[in-house]
Amino acid sequence: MTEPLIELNNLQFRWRPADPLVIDIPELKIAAGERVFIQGSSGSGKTTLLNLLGGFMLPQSGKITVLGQELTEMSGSRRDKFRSDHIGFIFQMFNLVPYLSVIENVTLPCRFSGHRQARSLQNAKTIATEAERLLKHMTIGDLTLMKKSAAELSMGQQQRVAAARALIGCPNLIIADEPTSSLDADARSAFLDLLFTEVAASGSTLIFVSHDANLAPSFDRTLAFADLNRAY
Amino acid sequence: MPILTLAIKSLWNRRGTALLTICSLAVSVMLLLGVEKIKREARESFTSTISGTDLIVGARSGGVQLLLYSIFRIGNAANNISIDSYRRITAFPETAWTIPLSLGDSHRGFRVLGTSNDYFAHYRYAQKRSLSFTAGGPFEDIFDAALGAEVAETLGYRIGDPIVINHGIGAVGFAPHKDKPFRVAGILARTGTPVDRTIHVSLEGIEAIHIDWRDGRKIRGLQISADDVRKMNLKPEAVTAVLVGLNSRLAAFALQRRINEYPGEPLLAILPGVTLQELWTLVGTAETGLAAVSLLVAVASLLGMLTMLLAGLSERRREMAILRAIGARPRHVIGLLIAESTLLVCVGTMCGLALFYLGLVVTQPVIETRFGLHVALAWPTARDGAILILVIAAGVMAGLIPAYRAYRQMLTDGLTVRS
Repeated sequence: MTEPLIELNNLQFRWRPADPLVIDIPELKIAAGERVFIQGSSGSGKTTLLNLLGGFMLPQSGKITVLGQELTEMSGSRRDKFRSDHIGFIFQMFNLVPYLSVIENVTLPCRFSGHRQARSLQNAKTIATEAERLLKHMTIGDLTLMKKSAAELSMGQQQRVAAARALIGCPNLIIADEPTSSLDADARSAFLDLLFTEVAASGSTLIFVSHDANLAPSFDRTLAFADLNRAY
Repeated sequence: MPILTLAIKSLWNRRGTALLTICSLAVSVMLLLGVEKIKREARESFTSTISGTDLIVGARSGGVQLLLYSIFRIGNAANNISIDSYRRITAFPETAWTIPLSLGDSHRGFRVLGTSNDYFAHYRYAQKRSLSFTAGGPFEDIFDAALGAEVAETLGYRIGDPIVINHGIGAVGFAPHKDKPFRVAGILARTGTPVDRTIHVSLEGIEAIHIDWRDGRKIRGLQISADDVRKMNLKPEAVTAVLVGLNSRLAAFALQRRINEYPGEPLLAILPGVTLQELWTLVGTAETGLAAVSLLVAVASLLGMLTMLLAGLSERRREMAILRAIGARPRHVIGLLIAESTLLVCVGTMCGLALFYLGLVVTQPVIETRFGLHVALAWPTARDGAILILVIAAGVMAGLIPAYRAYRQMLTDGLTVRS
């Protein structure tokens, strides 16, 4: 394994000093370009781990190294910038800003991150055309659909728009938190296929968290959260 | 996407409540400006009731009282001044002109003022504007009357109509001077002052209708007809007050002292401007109350806006978390919320300004005809500007509260998005 994209060392987290540990991960390495599935039941602290990986929260002890940079040593605003430049998120549901159109939702990360805007413009003339390209790949190519407000879309469509938004500007890391659990079986596999293709095309690393063990075979590597996290 | 565009779209998404908030802000801004305007115009109109007159002389009483009955036609004089005193004042070398005023009678609720044609020549109001006639002209006969604009309009009088004057004041007159009717000889243009509500007749006319009266009663058996009166040499014995114009305003103080110390009878001379100010400090307290109420309305509508933004915040917790995950920094989210409150208060204020002018255009003729108050359609004053800026500043400050709340929320939420 070359230089890993993510490296966790002796990571420990608890909500309050008196509380028990929620996260206790001795070691985890994820290589660049890897598609990792982390399987765990709800309430096991998966989302807390993603909060730590995204730099939303800081551990009480241990190290989180992403792209060779130590998150715990960054200032709050450095972490914010780092996150917006290098990480794309997909949530379980209600991913989109309801009062913005589909296109506006997808291009939003480029407005907050100059880095991702610059990388989008390597692929296309404008960020809007890059957004359209990604949406077409996500089979939301219909122009009228793109102009629609996000709230008018079906759940499946919303998740695909969210994926396009996470992918725009080719962030190094895509973090997906139960993105398929609000979809039916057909939509789920279609969504996964599209996501994999695009993640591969942009060269991003994917961390996919779900309780649904059935999804595991599609991934390069599967980690059981219970094995990973000693606190659980 | 610039934060401002985001704020506009976010507000548009909640246009129902946003519109209500804007309306309430607009109404309160309109109220603030309206009260300010009325204050200004009322004061203006008040102080411009009389101008160009250097002294008002009457029987000794209070200065405010003298001003009230001589100029505002409110209340009654306790005493008259003798015609001899009037002549002496007129004869002072400093005196440029005098206007005798004789009050005490009425016609259908309007005060009757006995005066001379000097009144039409020398009386000034507002910025030294003189009286003008829309029809007819000054007195030519003892029984000629000149009506104020409101009198003519309310009672529907035209040139040539007869008028019977009542003895005493009051809408339902008693003891009318029926045998000696007056004739409308002139109608004055509107001034926005008590002149509009006054019926002007000659001093001799006042004397004539009282010739067969004594002590407020008709003398039994004595009956002198109007034509006989005309032949008599009528000499008024007293006037109620005198307006004095001087050759030089500098002489006003000296002359005032001289009149106040006049040995012949107890007189009082006042400087109209000074006494108007004195009177305004009494009347002006009402406007302070009005201003306080409108200020409270503005505070209430700002609180309304705050309520809307804070209530929206809990619904928007998810939106904030999404924005943060997408890459919005705390300053973006704080900026978004401040932009929203700023937009609301700016649009509300501008709507209020528009509403204020719209209201002004609509109500201007009504206020003019009903209250004789000319409300000028003018650009906002510096004070109006200050009011607008103050409201906007208060709105922006209020926006800091939801912004701070959102910021705190965002830090604790992270990815843990609640729906």
